[in-house]
Amino acid sequence: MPIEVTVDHPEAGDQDIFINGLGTFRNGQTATVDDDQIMRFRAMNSVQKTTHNEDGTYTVENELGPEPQDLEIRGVTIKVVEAKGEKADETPAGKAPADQEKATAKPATATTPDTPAPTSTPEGSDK
Amino acid sequence: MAYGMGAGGLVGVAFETVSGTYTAPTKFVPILSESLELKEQNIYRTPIRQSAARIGVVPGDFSVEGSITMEALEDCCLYFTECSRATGVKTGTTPNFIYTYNPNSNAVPNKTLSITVVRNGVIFGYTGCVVGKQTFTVNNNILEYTADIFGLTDASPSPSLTPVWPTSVPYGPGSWQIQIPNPTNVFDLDTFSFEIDDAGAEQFRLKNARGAQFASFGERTCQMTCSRDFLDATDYTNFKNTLGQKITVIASNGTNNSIQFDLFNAIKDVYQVPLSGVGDLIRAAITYQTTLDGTGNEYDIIYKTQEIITP
Repeated sequence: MPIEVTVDHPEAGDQDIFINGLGTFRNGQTATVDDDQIMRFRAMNSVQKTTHNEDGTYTVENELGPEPQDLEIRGVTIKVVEAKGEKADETPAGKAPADQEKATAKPATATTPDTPAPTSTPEGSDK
Repeated sequence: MAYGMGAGGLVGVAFETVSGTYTAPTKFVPILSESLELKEQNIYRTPIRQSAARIGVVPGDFSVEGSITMEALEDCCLYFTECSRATGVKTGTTPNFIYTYNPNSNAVPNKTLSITVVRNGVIFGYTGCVVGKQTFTVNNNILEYTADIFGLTDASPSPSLTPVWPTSVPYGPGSWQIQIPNPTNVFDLDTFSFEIDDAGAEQFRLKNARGAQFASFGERTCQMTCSRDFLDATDYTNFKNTLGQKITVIASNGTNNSIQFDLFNAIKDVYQVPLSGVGDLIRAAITYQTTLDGTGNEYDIIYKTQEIITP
């Protein structure tokens, strides 16, 4: 299910932050990330496990990374978007659904990693 | 376990509340390279005992040394300069802040860093880190920053680490304003290196645990090297007369995002202007050393950024 990513980073100020695999987010705002991007995030954060055999060969297994909402990310809150008839879930900061504050920022679609990063503009960014 | 490569690595930093106590990263820094290591000073025993071999080892003190090189991003360099021998002053209003760092004469920095390095999934947590030397240089046409680090130990921590990366951009062609002397803009430099060396060193004391007790500073040297087009004898005459000048270098990506440093009284120490080849432009290789100017200023570093820290 899609997730909502809310960034409230204490040091970032009025800046964008980038979470590898999820996208670029404005500090102080909330954005939605779809299922495809979530799967890309898990793939990009997958863990490779290598087992060496006695004959010198080795085998490699790949384990997908965790769901974003299962991570503790400083300054970032992630919750699963509530579908009809289902209850929402959230990052391990662990508020019960009834206690969750409504996101006040207008949701925006997150930038995918394939999108040219906004950091590359020659003029930079006046903030 | 698996084979790893540098692409999967990361570096994060955090100001320590208590110097030497590991603090999980609050700022993740994109780097170009790092060489932090725990250096041991083991004592190998070679008593006269019917053998020419070392008979054993006494575990010695250890400390952290190495350097981190990165694209000079104003919101990242800020953290390292804060832990150098300089005093920072924060001005400006939300969301745009100005951090001005002036050198001081303290033996230890105002703050220390915990530097977390992840190499092939293994977390190294270097504590009590200070910046003993800073270098701003132009490499591959962008401004790069190198911090030489001295620290106490590797805490081998295991924090939960999911980094959030800054999106600030490096300073490249078109970002520069160079004034020699201030405020005259010049357009004859193609590269420079500005180095502040506070002679950082680990200090070891007799105590009930191995490791450095603290990191301190020594005598400071501050210099800038550059290559300038040799247009006339004016600058060369200033060199012969040991004339001090104020140099200002500003790298800017907009009104509220820049790195500036000033050398308040730069003396030309080396001036080489050779005829190096038939087809070569005649250029001068110059080394400037700084001294105090008439008001007691040596250098400053000014960061304009939206990053929020408390100097």
